Amino acid sequence: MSLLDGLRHRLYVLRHGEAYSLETDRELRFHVELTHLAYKRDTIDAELRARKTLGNATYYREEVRAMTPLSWIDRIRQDAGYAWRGLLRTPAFTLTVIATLGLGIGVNAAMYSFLDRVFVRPPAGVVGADAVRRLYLASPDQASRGVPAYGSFTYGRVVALRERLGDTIPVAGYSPSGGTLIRVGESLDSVRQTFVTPEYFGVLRLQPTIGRFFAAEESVIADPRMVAVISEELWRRSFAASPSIIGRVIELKTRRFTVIGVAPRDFTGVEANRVDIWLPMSTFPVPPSNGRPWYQSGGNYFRMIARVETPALMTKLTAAGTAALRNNPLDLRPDTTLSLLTGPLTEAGGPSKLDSNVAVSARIGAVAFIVLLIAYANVANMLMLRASSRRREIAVRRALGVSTPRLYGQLITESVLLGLLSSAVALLFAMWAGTALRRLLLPNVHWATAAVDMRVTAVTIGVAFVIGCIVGIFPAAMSASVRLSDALKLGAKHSSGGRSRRVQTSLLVLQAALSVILLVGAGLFVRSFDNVRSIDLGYDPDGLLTVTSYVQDKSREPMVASSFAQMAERLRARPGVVAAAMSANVPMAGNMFSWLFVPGNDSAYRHPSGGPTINYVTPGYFEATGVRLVAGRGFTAEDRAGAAPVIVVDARLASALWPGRSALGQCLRPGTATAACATVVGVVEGVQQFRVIESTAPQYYLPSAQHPGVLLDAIVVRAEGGAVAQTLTAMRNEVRTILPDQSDWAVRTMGQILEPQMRPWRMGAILFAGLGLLALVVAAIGIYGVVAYSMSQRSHEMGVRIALGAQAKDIVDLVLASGLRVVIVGIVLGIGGALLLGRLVASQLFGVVPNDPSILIGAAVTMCAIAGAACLIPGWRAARVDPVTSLRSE
Amino acid sequence: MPPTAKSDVLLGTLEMLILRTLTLGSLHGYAIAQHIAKSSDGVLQVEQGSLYPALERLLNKGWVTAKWAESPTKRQARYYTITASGKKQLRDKTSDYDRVALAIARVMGRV
Repeated sequence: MSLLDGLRHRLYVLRHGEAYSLETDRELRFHVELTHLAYKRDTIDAELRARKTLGNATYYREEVRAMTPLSWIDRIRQDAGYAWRGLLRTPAFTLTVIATLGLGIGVNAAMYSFLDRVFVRPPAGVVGADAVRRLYLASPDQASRGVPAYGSFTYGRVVALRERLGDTIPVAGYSPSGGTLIRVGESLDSVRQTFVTPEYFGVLRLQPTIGRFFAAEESVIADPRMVAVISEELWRRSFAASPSIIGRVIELKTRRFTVIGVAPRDFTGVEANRVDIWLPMSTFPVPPSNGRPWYQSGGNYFRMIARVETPALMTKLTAAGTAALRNNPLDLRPDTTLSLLTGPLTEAGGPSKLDSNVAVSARIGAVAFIVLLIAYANVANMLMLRASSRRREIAVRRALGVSTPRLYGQLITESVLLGLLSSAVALLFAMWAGTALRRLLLPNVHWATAAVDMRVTAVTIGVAFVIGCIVGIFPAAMSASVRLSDALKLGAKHSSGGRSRRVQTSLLVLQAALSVILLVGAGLFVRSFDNVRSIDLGYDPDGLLTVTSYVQDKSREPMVASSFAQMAERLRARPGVVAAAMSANVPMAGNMFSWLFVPGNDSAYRHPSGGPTINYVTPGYFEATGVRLVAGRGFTAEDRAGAAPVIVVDARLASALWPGRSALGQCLRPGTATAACATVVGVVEGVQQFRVIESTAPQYYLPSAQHPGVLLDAIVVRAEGGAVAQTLTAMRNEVRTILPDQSDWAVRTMGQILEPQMRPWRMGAILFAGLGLLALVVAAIGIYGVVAYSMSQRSHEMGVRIALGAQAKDIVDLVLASGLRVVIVGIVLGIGGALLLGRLVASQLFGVVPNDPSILIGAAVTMCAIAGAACLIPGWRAARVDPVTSLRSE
Repeated sequence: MPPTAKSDVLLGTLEMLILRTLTLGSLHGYAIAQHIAKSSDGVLQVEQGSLYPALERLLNKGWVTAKWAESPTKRQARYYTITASGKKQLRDKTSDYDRVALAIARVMGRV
């Protein structure tokens, strides 16, 4: 085969490059010698004549080599070596470019890894993820409350959908993964478990690595089988990938399960949250609530997925599913307005309301891109400066016969090399930032994979390569168009021509404008966060510590109540504790609505903004929470059972019921219209009960001693600043003795309870401020570089000025003016851009409008100050030019 | 800079001449050049700078193979041999050449 002959030859040359060169040498020498023999008649310098006739042997050797595939490898190697030496000669330039570009790309790689995971990429290991749809419920009632769709189902609804659709469309239910403990030998390991219907693995089209998945008869509620499927990762981690795992009994907390299968490699469930162990839904361990077991209760414990292969089946799914839901005999609260919706498996792409953290991240993605643009402009500028400072060198090379493609090749090789070097910085930065971003934005997700995986790495290196190519083209074009005669003229230092000067200036303007936009964004989000933080919650969250019980088992409730009461007593006696009380609810962590009757009115009172809500408290509750008393008194030990019934209302309720009059001494009937008249003894400040930002419903308080049937399972404690940490520890230790199971209780500071609500605001502020700062630094480097370079080019002019009597101040002013003129154009454009873009973020702000003048002015002034500082250093240097030296050097 | 650009026709022609020469048997580079020069009465002088790159191209295409062997003067020389696909290529090129040569002759009014 002659095609193979050719390939074999090429391969041989590639593998024996050096040897082949020697062969070629030898062959040519042979030729020269034979020619030499032919000319033997002329023995005097025959070889010279042979050479003269035949030309330069080295040149021919090169020509032969140029025909082989070695030539372009040679060329790349040569160009890369040349570029590398060039970069090593200017370490400051190289490091600046690598750092700038590395940070710019790195921020984006981190954002990309996050957004890709959350929005785009289906969970790892799922087969045919496109056909798997997530199911959602929607109802007009929920929609009116701002919930377009929700993805959780009661067991009754799971069953209804399975029975109606199961024969044509596989549907499955599962519970979101939760943490548990597995005992392996002597050691306890924390793992995450999920409870699934038997169709689960079929919907996802998965095949077990070994063993099998659940059979239908293993998930019968009446007859739960204790069987488990474990993840491949857990199998390898804890069981050394031993096939004997099948049939082995594992212990999860106190329950024992027999392992029947190992899930396929990489599969860790269908959500970002990792799953290690799958159990049949029939073993779902939630205790009964309100006397109903979990499978009959109204608890929305489950999520649902379905495999829909065709559009026709999709129509069927929504139509038949909706019908099944509306007419569901298993439903505790039948709702004929319900409808079934579907969305992609990736939850963020679905119809339900976007998690606020995820929404923040999408916006930040755009901001990260702006940072990359700034970094790009910066690097382009620096490369152009470098190219123009190398004009002489390039002109000499061209004079020596470098071809234009070769010159382009060399210059672009250099920028590509820079790009690739910065991709290393970018990856390191992305590993750190990507992990930080996950922890910051979705702290409760237990990710199955690292933030930077092969895909992110490949994309990062690819982007760095492309940016390297693009960023090098303009400087290369500039150098290639150098006119030799001009460049080689001695003293022709005023290099950058009009065109490249204009490009440099526009890049500076762009940088300044983008930086101003980011600064305005940072200002807006920091101000919003500040505003949210300073909202008066009605209580004082600093130093407020809480204990909440999650025990749902009626039989244990009396024990919890009495133990908690004793615990509150002991806490009150601790040094550093100002007050401790018990209550039915803690603000932001649970609430109750209740009827309230006003004498003379038959129907229960309803406040237009919802409520009123009720809380049962012991004396000291207001002191402990810091809820301020407006009038009257709080509860005392005197308000005991049998004493005159009393009630405390908040200011909102007071002003709604008795506008313009004092509420004290008024009568209210809580619970029923026939209840005993409770006298209002105090009015307190209204409290934000559900959300930090809300129009709060009014609330009233009843002394628990006068309502003995009510369960008080929360404790509020006010500790002095210095005693917070030790009080928290003491509280945890105390609760542990009462409720040994960690999942039955929570000890939290009020700050921790508020955290999920403050988080998006804080995230916006932190991320915007961080990126804004990054942009500012990068822009400052860019301005400094350009001004410093242009000053070094104009040192002759400065020498003349100084010789003619200019003072240092005049020179500094001149430099400042030349730099700031450009920056101010950028600032004006940036403010314009910020005003345009502001509308997009207006809905994400709190208490500040996008065109807030103080923030716009602040951003402009900051940018000006930074640009001025960046100009000062080259300015001072220019002012110190020694006229004699600078004039002589020309 | 020495001239390197040669038109496709010329490159193709040199390759054709080399392939044709190699139908006589395995030859080293110098012998190929000598044969072309002799059989053209010294009109076609193939320079090293054209010959060896052309041979390299032919090697890459798999139309010839090369092997080191002893020359009649007891020196090691690289001998080139035409392959089957080289022969086929030669036939194609020859018929192309005949057509073009005839066409040119017609235009010049020589036929």
